[in-house]
Amino acid sequence: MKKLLVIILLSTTGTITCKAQLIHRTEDVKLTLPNGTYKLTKQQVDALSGIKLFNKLNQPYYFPYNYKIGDIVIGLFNVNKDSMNNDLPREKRFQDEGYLFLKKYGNNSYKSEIKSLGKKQVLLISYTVHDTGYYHFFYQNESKTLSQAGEIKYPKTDEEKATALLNEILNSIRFIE
Amino acid sequence: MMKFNFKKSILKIPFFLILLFSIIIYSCRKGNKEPARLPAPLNDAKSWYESVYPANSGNSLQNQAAGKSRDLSQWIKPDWQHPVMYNRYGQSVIEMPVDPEAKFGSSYQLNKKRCNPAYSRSYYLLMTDGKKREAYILTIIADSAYINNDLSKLDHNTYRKHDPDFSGTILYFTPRGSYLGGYGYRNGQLMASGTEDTDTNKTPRVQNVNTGRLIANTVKQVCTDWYVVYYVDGVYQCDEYLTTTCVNVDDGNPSGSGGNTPPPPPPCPPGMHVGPPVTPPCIPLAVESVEGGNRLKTNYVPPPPPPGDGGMPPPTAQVCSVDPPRQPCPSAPDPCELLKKAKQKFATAFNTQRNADVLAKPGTNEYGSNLNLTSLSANTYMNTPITTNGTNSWMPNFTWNSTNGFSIGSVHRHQSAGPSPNDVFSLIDHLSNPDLVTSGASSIKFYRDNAYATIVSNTTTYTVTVSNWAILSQMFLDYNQDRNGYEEAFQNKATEYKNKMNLDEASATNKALMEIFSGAINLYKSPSNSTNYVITDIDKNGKLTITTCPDK
Repeated sequence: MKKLLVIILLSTTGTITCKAQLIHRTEDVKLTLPNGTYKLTKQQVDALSGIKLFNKLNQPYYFPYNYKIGDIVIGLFNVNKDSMNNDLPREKRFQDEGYLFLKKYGNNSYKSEIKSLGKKQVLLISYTVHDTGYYHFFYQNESKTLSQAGEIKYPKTDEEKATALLNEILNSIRFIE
Repeated sequence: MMKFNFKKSILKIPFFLILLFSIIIYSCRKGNKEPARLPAPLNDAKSWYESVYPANSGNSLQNQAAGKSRDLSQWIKPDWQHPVMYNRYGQSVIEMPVDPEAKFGSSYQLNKKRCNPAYSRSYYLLMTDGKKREAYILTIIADSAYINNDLSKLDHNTYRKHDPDFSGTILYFTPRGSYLGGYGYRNGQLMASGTEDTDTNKTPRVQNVNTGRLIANTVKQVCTDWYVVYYVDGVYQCDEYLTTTCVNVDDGNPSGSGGNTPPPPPPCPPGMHVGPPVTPPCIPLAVESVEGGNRLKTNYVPPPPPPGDGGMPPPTAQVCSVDPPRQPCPSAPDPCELLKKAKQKFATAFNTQRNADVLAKPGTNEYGSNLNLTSLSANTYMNTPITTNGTNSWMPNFTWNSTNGFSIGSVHRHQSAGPSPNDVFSLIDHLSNPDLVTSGASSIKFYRDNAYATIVSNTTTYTVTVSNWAILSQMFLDYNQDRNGYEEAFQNKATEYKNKMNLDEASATNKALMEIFSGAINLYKSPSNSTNYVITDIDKNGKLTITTCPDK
């Protein structure tokens, strides 16, 4: 009977552990990813549906850190400490210009804005291509010296979940200064 | 008492007569030294050999022209009476000594030193896999240290087997005397081949390596010229140059070898190699500088794997061939010449002014202008308007007629990024313009030869031309499958470079662009309001490169 209790206890603990929130931590930042998120290996990232035409490039496009929850893929860059990547208006101009092609082909889904979250700022970009939605975020610290950039890629049907996930991530970002 | 049986005695008489005749016939044959009847396989081999290598009278060794391989088949032949037959490497082998009638002897000469022909044995090897026959002459030359005054040791070494401590050299020839290659043994182990020196100077050389700046001054290269020497009854008849081998020596001592046995000669004569000719890569126009200058080749040729059955390595039946000489690369025109020619169209005074005018437009919207030649024979442009599409990207208005001009180029403004895939593909997009299509092949060729797209930003002017329309056409098919996806992937890649590598917008987009289009386009850039263009490309490590031409 005692053995059975121990087994049940261990199983419960294991289940709780597996369901626990995932902490993404580097030497510069810590953020919380919701329950059910798991880290993708390089092989899993390579296996994600991507742009075939992009194979011409030497290396596939992927982030240093990749996570997945359901059908939603999260990509995170390392924290940027340089002045160029911490100039959000400049980044916005670069991205706005780069995504002009969407309008050219009749896609008006592109939006970008620099928002204030308390004393911090974030450049938020969103657009949809082929029923896949994208959030790009560039979250900056108060002193504008550090920024955490990332992407959330989701099926258009999961837009609500993706938006909630974006908010959860942005609210959990803690720079280690 | 024994009874005499007449009938039985009569029957025995023919038996005795037959026996008597047989003895007489046999004795006579032995006395006439007639060859014994050969077994069928040997007989077939002999018939084949004599048909392929017929002996022609009057073509003796001494009568043959010098400077060519001596035709040994006119001098020696197999000793068919002493064959040894066995199977090796899936082939039936008939091994025979050289017919002693010729009193043939051969050995080698290293530089000016001749080896003792008494230490040499030659064998005929006739091999067949059941379909094809080949004949070789194997010459085994033992080291004096191995012989050690015991010539009977020579008999221990044949194609099928060798002594565990055999030291010497084996050489393979065709029956016509062509050298096929050789191997060296030291204490029963195969040695690495010597480095071939293609210099056919037949005098021994000692070349000091210390002609480069970085090489230790104690290392030298010692070369050995190899000759095969022929003897009759132990008397020198002639010699023939085979090849030259070289080894590096340190302070006068052979590096890593030592001993009396030199490395064996390579399979093919100088300037040749085993196997079919190989077309060498063409010589690029700009050759990367090689540090050190006169460095010696260190093309070490490892020894072949030992046969494993105690025998000698098989002869190389492959043909030696000479590679064709390297040719300058035909499809690599001087990039600076290309830039110079292209600038005649995209860097005129009109272009410079038009670029500045586009850049000076207020706001952040894209502005642009078509650049239309007044005619295909002139180098003057029409005064086309500068237009904008508002907050959308600028769209060129391609024309190909004498009224509106011939749109060989365009210029439009970017805020910070360099050219995008869309800017590149617009060049090929125009090829489907009805006016251009109906204007004929010469017009289309003119367009292909001169088309360009210029992008101006506050700091830099970029101009893209097409270097390979075939490649770009193939890429255009991919692009047309998913233009949005293509452009999105490009922007993502540029963003990745910007974030991961801390590149500015221009460098990040240039890098992404050239990773996609290198080999299909030329990307030129200059400071704004300048025509001092440089060539931008990407190297094999993915790094952006800049080439500055003498005449910018």
